[in-house]
Order: sequence, then structure tokens, then C-alpha cells
Amino acid sequence: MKKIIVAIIAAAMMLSLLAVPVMAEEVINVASYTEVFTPVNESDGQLAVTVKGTAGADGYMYVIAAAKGMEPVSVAGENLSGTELEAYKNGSESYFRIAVADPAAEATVEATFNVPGFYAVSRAADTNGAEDYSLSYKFTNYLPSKIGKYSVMVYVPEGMEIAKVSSPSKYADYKLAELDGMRGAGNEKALAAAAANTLTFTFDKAAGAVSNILIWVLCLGIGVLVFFDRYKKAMKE
Amino acid sequence: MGVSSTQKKKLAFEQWMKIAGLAVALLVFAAIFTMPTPVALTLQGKSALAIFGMVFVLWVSQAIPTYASALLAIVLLSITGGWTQKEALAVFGQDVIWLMLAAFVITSGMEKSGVAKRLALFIVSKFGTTAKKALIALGVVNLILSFIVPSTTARAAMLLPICMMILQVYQSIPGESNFGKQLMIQEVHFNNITTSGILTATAGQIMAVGYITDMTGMDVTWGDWLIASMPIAILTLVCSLVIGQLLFPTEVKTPPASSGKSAKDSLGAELKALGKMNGTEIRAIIIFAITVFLWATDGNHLNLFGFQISLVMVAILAALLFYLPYIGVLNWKETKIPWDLMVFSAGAYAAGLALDASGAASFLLNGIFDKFDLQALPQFALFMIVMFIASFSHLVFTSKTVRVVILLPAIILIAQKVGINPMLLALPASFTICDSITLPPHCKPNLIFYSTGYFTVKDQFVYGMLVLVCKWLLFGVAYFTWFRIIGLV
Repeated sequence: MKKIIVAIIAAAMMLSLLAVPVMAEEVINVASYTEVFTPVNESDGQLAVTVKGTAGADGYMYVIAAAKGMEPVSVAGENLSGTELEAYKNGSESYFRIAVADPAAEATVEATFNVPGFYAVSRAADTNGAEDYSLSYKFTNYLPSKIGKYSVMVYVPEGMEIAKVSSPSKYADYKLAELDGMRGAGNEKALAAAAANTLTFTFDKAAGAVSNILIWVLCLGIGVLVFFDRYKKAMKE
Repeated sequence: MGVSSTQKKKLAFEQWMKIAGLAVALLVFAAIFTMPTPVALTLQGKSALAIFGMVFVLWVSQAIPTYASALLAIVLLSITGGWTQKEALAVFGQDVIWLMLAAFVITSGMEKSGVAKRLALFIVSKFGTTAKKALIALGVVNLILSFIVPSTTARAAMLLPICMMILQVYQSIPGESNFGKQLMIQEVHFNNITTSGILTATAGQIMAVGYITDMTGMDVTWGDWLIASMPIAILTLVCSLVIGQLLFPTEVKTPPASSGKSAKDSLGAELKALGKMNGTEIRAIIIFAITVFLWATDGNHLNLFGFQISLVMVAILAALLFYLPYIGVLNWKETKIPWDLMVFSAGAYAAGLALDASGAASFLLNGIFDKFDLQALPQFALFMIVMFIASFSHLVFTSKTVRVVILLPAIILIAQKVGINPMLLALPASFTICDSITLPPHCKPNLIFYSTGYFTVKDQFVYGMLVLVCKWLLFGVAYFTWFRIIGLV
């Protein structure tokens, strides 16, 4: 009896391991996967995902639930037969999926999600200087195939500016953009299956008029004082 | 009465710069720091740009001591978010700072032993009996060395003791002597410009050729590079000698001679008076020879010894040997290290690196490229604009490698879009990688020679800019002549 139980558990484990490759074979091609986060209020965000590709044999297009707590709001697109996104789990990974009309043809999914608490980030200061909000978003390609072009853009609330992008760290590897007065940072790259992309940046309020005036007063004040003092001294010498 | 007499006094341009320098620097800082942040720039980039702009004015105007402006840069970078404290302070651990330290230990050792004086007297009495001949002789030595020692930094560290001693022979005082200014700045020019004539003389150039081959499928051999670039390099150096003489006419024609003797005889007698090499000199020359050998064989260390020794470590090893009992000739108190200039170098390097790291340099370059409708331009105009951008982009980029990575692919893509031979733009643009001759923090040899105190940032900037404008014009001439002969156009 004990041996049978062990054999059943072993078989179950084997099957659960096989579950991933089953999906892997079904998803054929993801040409592009775009994520755009915009703030709804001080803490919540909205995520617009656009996936272009060809569905696999199971006839579904998948959206990876990469952002914590994301809830579908709407879905539209091309070559879709379903009208709603269906929550789907594969092992420990969560997805949303929608059926396509013609699995052999290219399909486009344009979905929006609410992402509660996405912008509820804490402020932290470096050893010196002002405190900035720090935001980090990691996307792992849990699709079994490569994503030809993964791109992400995270816009920050209006009146905020991107302070520093630390991942990716090279200027050439990230993008800065503006949408309806909101500043954003993002990047794009090809993502192999199981590969991850991490976007980390800090943002803060744009300097206000008062602080700018203060800087001007200080700089002009010191500058003018030193100028006249040195001028007088040079004339005396 | 007193007021009217002071009003009549005419101030020299240099005095005006000192009077207005700080005010202008603060205005530059305020203007950039408080401007609305461009979409393609982070707050970090804006801060780095504001600080670089400010300290640049301070360096050139000398409104405050350069070491103070360096400390100001480090403080402001950390406070305004231009760079983190850790990154800004870590600049003192950069290889260039250690290299400078080691170079001054080597120089002190060579000087104390007397071998530097012997070498300098030999060069001056044989080839440099006049100041002009000495400048040309050092240029030729630099050119020859560039074939043997494949590192601009190593060559700078190697020639530093000899240059210092030649200036001592000529009794040139740092900061006052025009001959000293010319010699030291020309070392910067010769070091960088001769490098541009030899493909393998710096890694950035090899990288550039890699891009050209990868993106266009065209090969550039060592010989191709030499033939295309060396004539421009040599003519640029001739321009440098002429401009140097116009800007800083040498106050000495020959080394001060003993009474009743010609300079040549006097120098010859002085050389003779040194007598045979003593033990200290022999030890110093052995250490120097080991150093030169290790620098010259850089890249073959693995084959020779089974392990690699970096350029900086060779310099530190040499410094160590100069201090060791039985082998060395020097103690710490006898070492002359210009700490004020070391601090300046660290701060200046931090300001430059922050500009690169924050993306501000790339932002500026992209802005310049976007300003011109390059595709609509005639081929020659396009060529000249690309060469100008390629050469003067060094003003905002501290790193040669970063310049190659950003510039080369963009230039090749422009050529491909316009439908002209990519080699016509990409290869001459690669010849400008070593044009970093205008400011001390732009490359290590600049810092090494700057730290001797013989010239100011303004001296180097004006001289360097004029030489680069000549080089740019030479590219224009080469477009219609040399580049056509060798089939580039």
C-alpha cells in the first residue's frame, strides 16, 4: 500500500512537472509584448498590455500576471473569439488568457488592468541629497517561447520627474518619455523564455518655483558680491 | 579722484576671467539646474550637466583654485543627485589616480638618482640644443614610442621624468615658462595624435574597426589605418608646433649656458661632468627598463609569464621597486607628489564620469545629431559635420570607449541611410577617437602632464581647440586629396 501511495505521488509530481512543457508546446510565437503603466491615483496604477503573436495549439493568447494584484478591466484586439480574459494558472505562475478565432493567424490582445498599490512606493534617500521614490518592476517571461520584443514604460504621476534610472544602467539601454504631462521611464529588449527584465528607477517632484528662485537668488547674490569685490580689488592693485 | 583713476585702469582678459569667473559659473549652474528637465534627461543627468558646466567655467577662468573646484564638484554631485557619494568618492580609487601617483614616484626616483638628468642632457645636447629642436625631438620620440608601447598612458608616464628634467635644464618655472607650457601641452598633443595614426595604439580604435567590420562587412587592416590616418596625424602635429609657438612663444632659445661657452658646449660639458653612471643611476635605469619592457609587452604577458600585469600594476610595481631597500633609490619624503593636482584630477574625473554615467553626455550628442537634417546635406557638408561632431564630442565624453559605442554605429547608420560608402564617414571619424586633448580629465595622459603644474586648464583648452580646428580643416583637405588617392571617397 505504501509503495502504491509513493508511486501515485511520484506520478503526480511527474505530471505536474510535465504541465509546463504542455503549455510550452502550445504557445508558438510572441512577436511583441508591450506594457505601459500609468498612475490612476497616488498609489494605484493602470496597466495596458498589448501582445502580438500567434496562439499555440490550445488556441489561447496569454498575458503574464507580472504585476502584483493585477485585475483585468477590458480586453480588445484582433483575431479574438473570446470577450473576456480568463485567469489561468500553470504551476505557480499566473496568467490571463483569451481564446483566438484562428490559431494559425496572428492575433493581437489589447488588455487593461487595474494594479492596486503599484505606485505605493516608499521614499528613500541616498547618503546625501533629497529623498526620492524608488520603483522597481520585474517582468519574467513565463511564456515558453521567446518574446521578440518586450517593452515596458512606467509613467509617474504628473508633476513628478524621473530622478535616476539604475536598471538598466546605461542611457542607451533605457528610454525616457512623456505622455499627457506624465514623465516615464522604460526599456525594451528581446526576452528568452524564463528570462527577466528589471526596470528600477527613482522619481521625485519637479523642483518648485520657490526652490528655483532660491537657487537663483543664492547664485546671483554670491556671484554679484564676489564680482564687485574682485573688481574693486583688481582696480586697486 | 580715486574712482576716476581706477576707472582708467585697463584689465587684462585673464583678470576679467578671474573677476567674473565665479559669477558666470554660478549663473551657468543656476540656469541649467533650474531649467525644466528635458524629457530625454533624468534629474541626475540635469544635475551632472549643471555641475560640469559650472566647474568647466571655474577651471578655465581659475576664479577659484582648481583643487577647490574639484572638491565643489564632488560635494555638489553627491548632494544634488548627480552621482552617489560612493561613486564620487570612489574616483580616488580609479586606476588613473594610482597611475599618477606611481608616475610621480617613478619621476622622483629617476630625478633623485640623476639618471633623468643624464637622459635629458643627452637628448638636449644631441637633438635639442635649441628650445624648438627640443620640442621637435620629444615629438619624434613620442612618435617612435607609439609604435613600441601600445598605451597612451604608459608613454605619458614614461616621458614625464624626461620632460621634467629637460625643463629643469632649461630652468623653466612651472606656471611661468612658455617653453614649459608648450612642452607639456605638446606632450599631450603628441601622445594623443600619434596614437590616432596607429590602429593598435589604443583599444578604442580597435573597437571602432570592430564596429565598421560588423556593420558594413568591410575590413580595415593595420596598414590601411596607418596609410589613411598617419599623414593627417603628422600634419596635425606640425600645426600643433606652429600654434604652440604663436600662443606661447618660448622665452628661451637655448638652455642657459655657462659663461663663455655655447649652449651645446655647456650642455656637453655638463653631461661629461656627470661622469660614469653610479650604482644608484644603474639601479634606477634597470627599474625604468623593466617598466618600459612590461609596458611595451602589454598584451603578451600571458605568453611570456603565464599571467597578466595591467598597465597600472606595472607602474605601481615600478614605484615599489624604487622604494625597496637594496634595489630602490628613494624614500617617501623624497617623493614629490602634487596632491593639490591629484585632488583636482579626482574631482574633474568625477564630474566627467558623472556626465557619462547619468546619460547627459549621450543626451547632448543625440541633441546635436537631431539638430541637423543630415540626410538632406551634400556629401562634403555631411562629412565635415560628422567629423566635427566626432572630434568635439570628446568635450562631453570622458571615455573613449563610450564615444565609440555611441558615435560609430550612429555614423555608419547615417552613411547607410544617405547611401554613401560608410567607410568614408566611419573611418575618418575613428581617427578622432584620440582627440581628447582639450581638458585635463578627458584622458589619463592629460591628467599626468597637467599635474606638473606647467600649464592651466585655459592654456590647454585654447591650444587644444585650435589644434583640433586645424585637424578638422585637414580632414576637409584630405576629402579632396588624400582620401581620393587612397580610394576612400
